Amino acid sequence: MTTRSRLFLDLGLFGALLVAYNPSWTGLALHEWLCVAAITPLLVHVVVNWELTLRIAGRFVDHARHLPRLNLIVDSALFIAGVAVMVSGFMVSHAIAAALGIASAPSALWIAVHSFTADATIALLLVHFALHWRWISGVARRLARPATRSA
Amino acid sequence: MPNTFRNVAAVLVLTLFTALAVFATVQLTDRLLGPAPAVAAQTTASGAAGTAAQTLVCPATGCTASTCHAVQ
Repeated sequence: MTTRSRLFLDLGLFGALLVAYNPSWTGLALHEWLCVAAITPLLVHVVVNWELTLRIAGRFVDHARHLPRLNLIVDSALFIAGVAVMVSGFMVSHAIAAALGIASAPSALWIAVHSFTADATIALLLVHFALHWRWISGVARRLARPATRSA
Repeated sequence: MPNTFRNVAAVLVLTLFTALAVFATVQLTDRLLGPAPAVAAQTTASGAAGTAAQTLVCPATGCTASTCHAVQ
C-alpha cells in the first residue's frame, strides 16, 4: 500500500468516524450504515500497521522509547473501544436489525455501553491523531510538493 | 508482502476474540444484574398531565430523543 493511499485511508476514516459519532448529525440509519461501511477500512488500517505494532510490543518492556510505548497503549485501548462500540452498536441498532429482519429491543446496559464506548473511542481517536500528527503532516507536505521531489 | 495473509488472519482473530469477549462480558453482566426491560422512551410531561409540551428522555443514558437509539 502506498503512503498516499494510507494517508487518504486514514484521513477518510478519521472524518467518517467523527461524522458518525452523533446519530443526530446524520440520521440514525446513515449513522449505522456508515459505521458498518467503516469496518473493512478499519481492519485494513490495523493490518497495514500490524507488523510495526508487533515490533513495538516485542520491545515494550525493555527497549521501547516513551512515544512508541504510549502509542501502543493508546492504540490498544482504541482497538478495544472500537470493537466494543461496534458490537454494542449492532446490539442497539434499529436500521441494521430491521434490514436483517431482527426485532430490536436493546437493554439499558447495551445502550449505556454503546454511549460510553462511543465517547471513549472519539477521545482516544483524537489522541491517536495527535500522536501521529508528525507522520500525517510530513506525508501531506511531501505529497503537496511533487515537483520538488522529482526535481 | 509475504506476510499479508498471516497479518490479516491475526487481525481477524484478534478482532473476533475481542468482540466475543465484549459481547460475553456485557451479556453476562446484564444477566447478573437483572436485565432491564426493553428500553423504550420514557415520556415525561413537563408540567401537569395534559400539557402539550413533552420531552422524550432515554432512561438509560439521559439523552434526548434526537440522539437516543431507544426512541428512534
